[in-house]
Amino acid sequence: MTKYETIIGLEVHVELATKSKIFCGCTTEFGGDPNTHCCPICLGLPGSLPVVNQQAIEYAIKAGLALNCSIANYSKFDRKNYFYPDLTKAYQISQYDQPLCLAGHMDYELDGQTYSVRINRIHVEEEAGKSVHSGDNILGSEFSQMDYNRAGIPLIEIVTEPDIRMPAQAKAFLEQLKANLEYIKVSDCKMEQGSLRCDANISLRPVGSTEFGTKVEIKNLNSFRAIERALEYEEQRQAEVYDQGGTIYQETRTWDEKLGVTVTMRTKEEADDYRYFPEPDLPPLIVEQSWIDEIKATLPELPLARKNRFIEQYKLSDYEASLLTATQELADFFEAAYQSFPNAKELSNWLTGEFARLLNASNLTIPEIPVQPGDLAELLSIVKDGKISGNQGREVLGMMFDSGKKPAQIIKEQGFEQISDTKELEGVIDQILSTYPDEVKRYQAGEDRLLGFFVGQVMKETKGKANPGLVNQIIRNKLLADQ
Amino acid sequence: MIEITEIKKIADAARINLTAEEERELQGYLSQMLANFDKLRSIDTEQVAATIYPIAVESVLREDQVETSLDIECVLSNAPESVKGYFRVPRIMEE
Amino acid sequence: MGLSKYSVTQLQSKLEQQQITSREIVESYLQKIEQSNNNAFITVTADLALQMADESDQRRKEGRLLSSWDGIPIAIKDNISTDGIKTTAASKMLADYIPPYDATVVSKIKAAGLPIIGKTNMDEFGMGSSNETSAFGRTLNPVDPTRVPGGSSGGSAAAVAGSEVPWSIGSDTGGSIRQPAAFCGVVGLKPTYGRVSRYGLFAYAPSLDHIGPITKDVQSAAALLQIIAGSDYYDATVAKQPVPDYTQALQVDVTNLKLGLAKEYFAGLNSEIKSAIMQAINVLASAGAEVTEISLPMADYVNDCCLLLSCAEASSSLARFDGVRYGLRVTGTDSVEMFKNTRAAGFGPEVKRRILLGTHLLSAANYQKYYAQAQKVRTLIIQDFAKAFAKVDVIVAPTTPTTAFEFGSKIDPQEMYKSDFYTMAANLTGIPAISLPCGTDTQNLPIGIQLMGKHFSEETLLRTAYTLQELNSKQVKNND
Repeated sequence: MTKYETIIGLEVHVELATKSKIFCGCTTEFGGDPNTHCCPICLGLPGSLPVVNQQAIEYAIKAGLALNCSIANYSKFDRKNYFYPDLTKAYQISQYDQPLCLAGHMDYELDGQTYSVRINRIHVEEEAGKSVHSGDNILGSEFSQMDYNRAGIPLIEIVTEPDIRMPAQAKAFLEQLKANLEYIKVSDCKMEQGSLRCDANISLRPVGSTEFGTKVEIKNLNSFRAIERALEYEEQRQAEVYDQGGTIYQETRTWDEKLGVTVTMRTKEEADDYRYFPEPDLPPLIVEQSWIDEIKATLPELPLARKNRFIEQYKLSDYEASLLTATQELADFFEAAYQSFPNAKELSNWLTGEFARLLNASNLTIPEIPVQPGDLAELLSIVKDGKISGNQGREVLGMMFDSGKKPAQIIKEQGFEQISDTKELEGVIDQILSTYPDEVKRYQAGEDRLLGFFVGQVMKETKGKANPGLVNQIIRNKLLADQ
Repeated sequence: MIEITEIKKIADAARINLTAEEERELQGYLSQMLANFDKLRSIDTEQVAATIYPIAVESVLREDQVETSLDIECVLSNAPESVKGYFRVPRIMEE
Repeated sequence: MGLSKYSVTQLQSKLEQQQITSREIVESYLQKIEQSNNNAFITVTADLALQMADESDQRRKEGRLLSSWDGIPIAIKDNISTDGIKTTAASKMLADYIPPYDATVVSKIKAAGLPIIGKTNMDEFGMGSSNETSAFGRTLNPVDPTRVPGGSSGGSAAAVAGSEVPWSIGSDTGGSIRQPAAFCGVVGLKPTYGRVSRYGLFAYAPSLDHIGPITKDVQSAAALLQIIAGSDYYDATVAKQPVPDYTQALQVDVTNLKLGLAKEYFAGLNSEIKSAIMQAINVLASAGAEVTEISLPMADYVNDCCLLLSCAEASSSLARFDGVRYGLRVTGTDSVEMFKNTRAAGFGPEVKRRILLGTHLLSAANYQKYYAQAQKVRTLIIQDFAKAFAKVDVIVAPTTPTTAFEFGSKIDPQEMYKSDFYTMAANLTGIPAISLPCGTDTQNLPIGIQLMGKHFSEETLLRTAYTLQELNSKQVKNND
């Protein structure tokens, strides 16, 4: 592929996690029986009017700030006019020439290298409804069925500059974007539920050329992996066409996941004319600088920065730091636990090991589990002090997840603090017995009372931790055997 | 005079089927109206800002709170065709 | 019963004095409607009106009236959403459409206790100046049944003029309240843009659409405005200005009021209309108003500017009528065919013309040339009026260039559009404007005089109109 340079740009649609829709009070809850989250406004009944949801704007501004954009103090809404059964007003309220966010950038890493992608713009718009087709796919159906629960959910559209140069980079960019958006909590970013969608634009040009080649848009990309595969395929396809002296036409192609190919959707001779004009039903969006500053102050440390800080501050490896900062909750948990247990490596091992396993199995999120950072720290201290073994510690953690009880309590209840490890006890017992050979002879001769003496010595030796019942039993068995 | 091919394109964009007679009539109507509107183009508006809103209204934002949606019966009450809670339409060819 | 001859004020008084009941009033009007050939109504909600009247009478017995107009029935133009009552916009597209929600003005009307007697006829989707584009037949002008009542609120105006209802609500996008009011000899008020919520008004051109009262006299226009005006959670373009007590404006007093006459409006004006208007101005001048000549240099561009913008916006507003969720459906082999068949069958010729023109105007190739330019011309027109209002308080103008014309006399759409020559400026600028009768021509057809004021100066307009009305009626009394 060294003959051609690949140019990739992405358009990402993200559903914002507001409680109600962007222009009406219907719930944005996922699922629900069809058409049960609808009202005159999102159905576009004649006479209905939109009123903007403040939280949607706040989330959009937050996303813009997280992506280093400048936020427009004045922006406006426009109508994007087109006919489609899932579009209730036959226009989408969007932003055309004066969007909310402009000129940002986002860093991401791939194979140890940091890249930066410029963000052209972010604008606010509304979702359309959903169509369900009666056949296997849209082309074979006789009917389609419309559900407008989704219509009116707030969206931001993030448009990158064509700064991406490899399909693998596109995937890495999107993963970082998702992590960023999750950290700032503006979206749940679930591709499988449609709250994050991506279309890609890709073109090729001869290496060294400064002009852009003809770009092709690719749709129907349902996972980050699909995006990478589709771009790889398209990259190859375009190179072959150029190699054979052919022409690439500007078009939209759809990715066929099963066959692993992109297919022409429809060659458009002219670009769609959406007849944009300013939305007369909504006054301009005035965003005061003070509001922007307020929102900026709520921005958390973003994942990449946090990861790098973890590496430096806690001396963790890139791998460890990546895992720990994969979600904000886990990173918060780590840092809180570190306050009481300042051993980063240990803590990291536990969090990415047993804790992660238990968390996964529980199907809960970190805020939902009964284990607090302080509890984990306490447990690790106990293990570190040798009061219980590592294995016991893992068991205790599991019980902490199940019961919500504190480690000390569990250890007491389970009698874990005592040494119940037979081998360990045998070691101590052997040592004691060999220290008192006369007493052993006397016990074996019939002085049963001396059992208590041996147990006492073992308790002394193990600082009271030995499980007395067990010690009693082991000594008896040993001395019996020796006779 | 605007071309009939242009009228056909406009009718397609507006999703309205027209008879040949209607097309001809619209040709005349549109041409006349555009000629009238051309008078507006001669006005010097170089230094003039566009009016989008007749009255300056401040940005109006609503609290993010959930309100009761319409009952499904109401939603579907005027539906030309509905099936199991969905609106049904003839097949959607790719747009 | 003959109650239909009474004004709102008289009905109010008789109800208060318990000389009549709301039910009797409604029955009287229902009878009048029944007997009328005017076709002013698309839907008459007899049962509902009687039920609401009974409820009003009950409230009156129990001393818990909702307002001082509780029990006085009203008619609503059929492009305003009424929950459970068919709302058609006089179009085949919505011939059977029953909305599941009330427009805000309807909620307010109900909250004031006014029984709803029916939905009035209109030009289809508000597009017209004669009520001839209705899919439900023409409405006759009660003054002369061979003539149009005007439009698009022709039904509302005819119903009031024909005493089929004491007052009504109309809508105005280029003159559709004022022009029919003038043609029928009644009062029509287009308030300031944003003074009345548009939530529930089937949109034609959102930046130009207004809702307002059509009534027999100025005092009931003031009262009805009082009822429907105000801010609304569901309309982001509604004004936040507090609503004053408009009934306080009903005073005979125009001392020192500065009236402006635009020379552009009087050049070439029909002589009978001119004479009636000048007479009215003299009445006001004699009562203490000052008359100044002003200029509105953009006057000749107003019509085209307004038509351009309204057609463009309409092409978008009416795109939602696609046969999917409500209204007419004419099916097809696929959805696109269904859209095309439905819209071909559902819309009348004038609506189709305007949608197609608007579609063309908004196309990317044409946007700058036409729509963007018109928005700027709109600014110049607004500036025209701002300059004028620096000098005067109220601009006096004709409402229409002619009195009511005969049915079928304006076949060429261009001719029809001219009927709105004097009214469109108030839609472009958003300023309030009222039309009231100021005489008749030699064929006894009503002539309307139009008063326009600054934004939110409805009180001044009402006061001026009330003064004129009262002084004129005194004059008439004196002449008898």
